[in-house]
Amino acid sequence: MHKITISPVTRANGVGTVTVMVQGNRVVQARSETAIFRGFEIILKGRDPWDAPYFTQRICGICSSFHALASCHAIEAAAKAKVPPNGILLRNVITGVDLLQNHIRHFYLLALWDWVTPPRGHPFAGGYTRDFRLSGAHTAMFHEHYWLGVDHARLAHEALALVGGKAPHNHGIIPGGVSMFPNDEVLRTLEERIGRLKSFIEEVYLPDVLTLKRFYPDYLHVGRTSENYLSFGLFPRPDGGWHFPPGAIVAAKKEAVDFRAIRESVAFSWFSGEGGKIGVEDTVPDMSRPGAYSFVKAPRYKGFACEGGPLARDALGTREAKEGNSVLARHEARAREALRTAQLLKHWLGELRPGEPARDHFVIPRSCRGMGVTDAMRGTLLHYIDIKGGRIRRYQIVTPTAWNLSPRDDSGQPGPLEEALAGTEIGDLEQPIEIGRVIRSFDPCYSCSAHVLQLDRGTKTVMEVRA
Amino acid sequence: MALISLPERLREDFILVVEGTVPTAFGGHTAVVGRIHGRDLTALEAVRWLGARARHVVAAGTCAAYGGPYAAWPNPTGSLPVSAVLDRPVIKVPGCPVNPGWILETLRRLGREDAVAVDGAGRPLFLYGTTVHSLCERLPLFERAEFARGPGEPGCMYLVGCKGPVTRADCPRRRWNDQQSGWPVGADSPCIGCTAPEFPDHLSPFFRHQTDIYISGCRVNLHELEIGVGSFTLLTIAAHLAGRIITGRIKIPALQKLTKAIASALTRR
Repeated sequence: MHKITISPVTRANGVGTVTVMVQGNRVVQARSETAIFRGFEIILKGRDPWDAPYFTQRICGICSSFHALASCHAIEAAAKAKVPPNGILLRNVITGVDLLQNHIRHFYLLALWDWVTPPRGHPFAGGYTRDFRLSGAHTAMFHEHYWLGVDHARLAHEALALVGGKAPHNHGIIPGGVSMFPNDEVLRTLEERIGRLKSFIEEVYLPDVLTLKRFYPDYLHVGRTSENYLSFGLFPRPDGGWHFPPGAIVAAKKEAVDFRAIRESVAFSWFSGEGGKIGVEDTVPDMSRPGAYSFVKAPRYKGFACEGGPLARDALGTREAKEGNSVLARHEARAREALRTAQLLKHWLGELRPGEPARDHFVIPRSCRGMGVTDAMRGTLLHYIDIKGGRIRRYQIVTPTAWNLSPRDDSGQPGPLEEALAGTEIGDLEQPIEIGRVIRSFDPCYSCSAHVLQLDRGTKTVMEVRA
Repeated sequence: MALISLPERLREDFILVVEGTVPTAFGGHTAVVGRIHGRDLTALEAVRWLGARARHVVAAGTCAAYGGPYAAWPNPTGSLPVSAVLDRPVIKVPGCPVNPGWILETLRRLGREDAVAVDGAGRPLFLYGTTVHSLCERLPLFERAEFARGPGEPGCMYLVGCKGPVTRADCPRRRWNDQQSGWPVGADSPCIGCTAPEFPDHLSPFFRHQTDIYISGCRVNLHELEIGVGSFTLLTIAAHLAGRIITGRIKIPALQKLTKAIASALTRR
């Protein structure tokens, strides 16, 4: 039996380790290990609830706008506030261009070099030399597209800054709606940028993913999970409902999400206790827990490990990708979702009503509780706020990474990434390029995994450090 | 791969740029940057290892420079700024996030010159020499006491909790993401002071004029205490105002209006 460790997993943002056990040339078991913890929920305690959207954005520079949105949703649920249509539409614009930024950046900056021979001396080159199947002409084309990708990810952030003030960590999304209604000049610039992003996705990004499918068709069968999907809904409509509808598919059955059916297991996580329901459990860190290997808890829906992200949203919605569940199905679903989002962005700008409010003015009651949900780029995002005496008494965040990259649970059920890696065939144990391809199809990001923990009494616990 | 080839590349001349705080609780094991030859490499070890060999050490962003949001009260991971774990000068380029222009211009200077002049908080003077307030396009509104009452209004954000008067950065001039409206006040919201060493604990609540103060392990706010002592922002802003009056920038009728507006803001909420 061989053991291969990939560490750090991502090429740019965040850290993490994946260890796979290989028998013959096949992965028999995988472990998604996350050794980073920052105690965000503890830091939020005692703060003014108004600070939560700006504060929680600091979890991650890649998906910051969605943390602001989930946080506002939680506060608005707690205060029973109603966001006006302009507020919902402009929030969709901010999070929509941020989603484009993420999808483009993920493909060109992080995932591309799993498939394309990098230029000599490229800092993100993984050091692999085998199984690059593109022709010389295609390789040269992708090298050019890499720079186009970098440019357009930046363009998306520039579009965000027009209405959000800055990106990342925008100032636009605030409780009740947004801070600013763009003037005509800003709207025209925004429209022009969104048009350029749409053309890029249509003419470059999506065709590039389809090119990969042509050269690597076997990856339409590699990296399968058990197709349990979960989405909390993406881009709310002003008249209620979502453009990408929420839902769950577990054991091949589609159903509405029952939020009471979410439990977090800590059986293989560095915490003591039993885990449990969102908003009520208390967890104490314990690095001496036998067999534990991650600072991420294992959230489960009705006991199932669920995959989130573009493929899950596709399965629950339009089924445009039609490619089942695999490494390249994830990439294709991501690119098609980017295109649909670019089309929607144009639509939202047209729906704006100048002269009408973009924010509900409301007072947060001194004692209240609320749960805020949305899908973010990689999957489901949940914020929970408990306010007492005008201050945050408890805050809880369950991120997409906690679902996708979760460790095993009480029953030994692996997380989606661990599941997708099992069974992968490796051509050369010295150059296991297949593992990175499977991992990166999930768009892994570890920054938020550092904050999915709730540690009410944790700061006083003495932890045993691993040898 | 990248980690394994690193020792070889360390023989070259390099500038170390660090992002993020350095957690020290639990032996630094809450931040493992990767595994090298079967052993965890903590952020603490990595910063010390690389920091000892670099020509310059640059802390990029407020977390690396001063601790920032991750070292915020009660600092559950014992996070420290880079300068606290290295026995050498660290050039601090704060911001949450750091503006790409700030870090690139600092690196460009370090490539050309041996040193860069810094202020008392270790920040390059050419970038952090002025306050956000003094560069703000709404400064005339402040001087005429035309205040916004909440985010989303076109007035001066001072009473919405703007920390511009105590924050050193060139945001109003530079703008973010190269956009005309690209900075917090451009988006009709207050500056939250993200480049300041006091960010975020002594500059929050973000939307409140008075900031929290910390008394024997407790966080309290003036409006809750209803007593007349000044918190950090208030004192500094008061000093700034005094300066403006002495230099004649603020006229007496405007001052009366300003005092009234501040007084009503203090009793609000």
